[in-house]
Amino acid sequence: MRLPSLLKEVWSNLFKKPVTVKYPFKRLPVSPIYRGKHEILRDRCTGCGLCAKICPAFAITMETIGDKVFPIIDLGKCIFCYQCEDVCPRGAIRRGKDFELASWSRGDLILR
Amino acid sequence: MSAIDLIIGPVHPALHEPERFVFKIDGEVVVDVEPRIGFVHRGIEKALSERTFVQDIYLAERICGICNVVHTLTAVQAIENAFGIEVPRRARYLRTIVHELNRMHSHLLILGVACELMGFDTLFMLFWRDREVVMDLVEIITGNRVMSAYNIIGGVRRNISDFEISEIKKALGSMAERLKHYKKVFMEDPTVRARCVNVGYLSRARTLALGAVGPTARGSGVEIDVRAEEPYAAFDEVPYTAVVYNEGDSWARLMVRIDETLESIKIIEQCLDRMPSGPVKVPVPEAAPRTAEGFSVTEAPRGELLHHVYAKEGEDKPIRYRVRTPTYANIPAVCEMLKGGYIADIPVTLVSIDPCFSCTDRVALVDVNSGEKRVVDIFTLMRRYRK
Repeated sequence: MRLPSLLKEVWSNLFKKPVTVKYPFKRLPVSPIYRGKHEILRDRCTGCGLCAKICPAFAITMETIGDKVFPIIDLGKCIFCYQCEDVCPRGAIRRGKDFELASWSRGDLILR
Repeated sequence: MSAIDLIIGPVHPALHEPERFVFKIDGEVVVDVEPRIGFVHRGIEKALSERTFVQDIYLAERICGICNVVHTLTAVQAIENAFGIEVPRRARYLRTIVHELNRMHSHLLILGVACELMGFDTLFMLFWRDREVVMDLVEIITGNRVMSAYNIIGGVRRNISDFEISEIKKALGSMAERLKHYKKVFMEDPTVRARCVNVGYLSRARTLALGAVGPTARGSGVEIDVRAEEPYAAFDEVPYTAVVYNEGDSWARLMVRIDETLESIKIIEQCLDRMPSGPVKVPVPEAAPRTAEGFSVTEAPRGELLHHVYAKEGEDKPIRYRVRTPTYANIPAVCEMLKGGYIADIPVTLVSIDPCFSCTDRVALVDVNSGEKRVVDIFTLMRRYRK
């Protein structure tokens, strides 16, 4: 019987480093344009509400804080499409790299 | 021998969607198949017509997570067709690149799953290791591994830099070498040949009669490929010929996918070389500028995909949205393939059409005469029928 041609690759893989990483101890780098947790820059925001209007997941609501109106993002609803970043005329919403968003309560997922 | 109903489905965690099949079996041979679809009816068509055109792209992206790029591509092409917008050349090339990367990752995924179901876990691991390379490339270009959110009405989200182009070329070069090696394994390996060759045969005439699409049809010698026949995006400048195998069995359908992955690498390399400079998006109006129908047909990894949209002047929502997905068209064909085959071949035959549903994970054996029911999981079934 002929040996399967994959056997050579299997043998060489025995002496290679594993492809996977031990996740909680080592994290793979994310792309520079990765779409993670948002950063809302309050000083740039004018409170126009375009982001709340366009959001495909209805995750953004406008809330009055002090004497101004700011967007509140519910990360539980967010689909991370970043249409809000595209539509913002002042660049007040920025891409963050944080992807570990699990939480014990839903209230923690609301980004103010 | 009494007739036995073998029920597969509807809930399975391994593939992507619930689906129920009732197999009428005589001994080990499948005599008849009754499919029952519609377990994941989400009302997406209605939801699409309740949202604005911009929001529709992201909802269309979620029709299928695996082939998300082709759904956004078809949706934006249909909406652009209705609006009468001309997209810049560079954007069309970038769309083609991401579209083909998406096809590569989809094909590698299903090839891996097919290997796992035929009991060849080594090749499954190797396919999925190489799939990671493609996922990383998608992340470099679009910003996310799976949900790309790259195509928008009037172009694409972002441009691609020279550094990224060189990264893609480097990764794809070594990828092509490895895929050629796997192709050789698929052609020669006794395990693959024993499980796939002459399993789930469908003749060319029956394929045409049942209206199968995509790799399912191309594995039976039917030369249909939207990319070759009705070029969209950049396929009018990057020539493409359909990959066709004449065997008509599960092996041929899987070979079509390996060859298409190799073809995708060639397409991406050609696109990167020929890509013109210029803008990547044009401004578009929020509401429809005219009352018109938009229509778009593309080649999804699983076959022909159609989006049809009606827009009314001054409205920012479509009046009606229609989607026709390829797996739906392939279900009559897969029922035909399963007839006359063995129970042990059901997983491989089902996976060879790359179904968008999960069906091979839990099996309940029901004896119709006595009403006796036994539930077995996929691993027991695989162990039993691997020999």
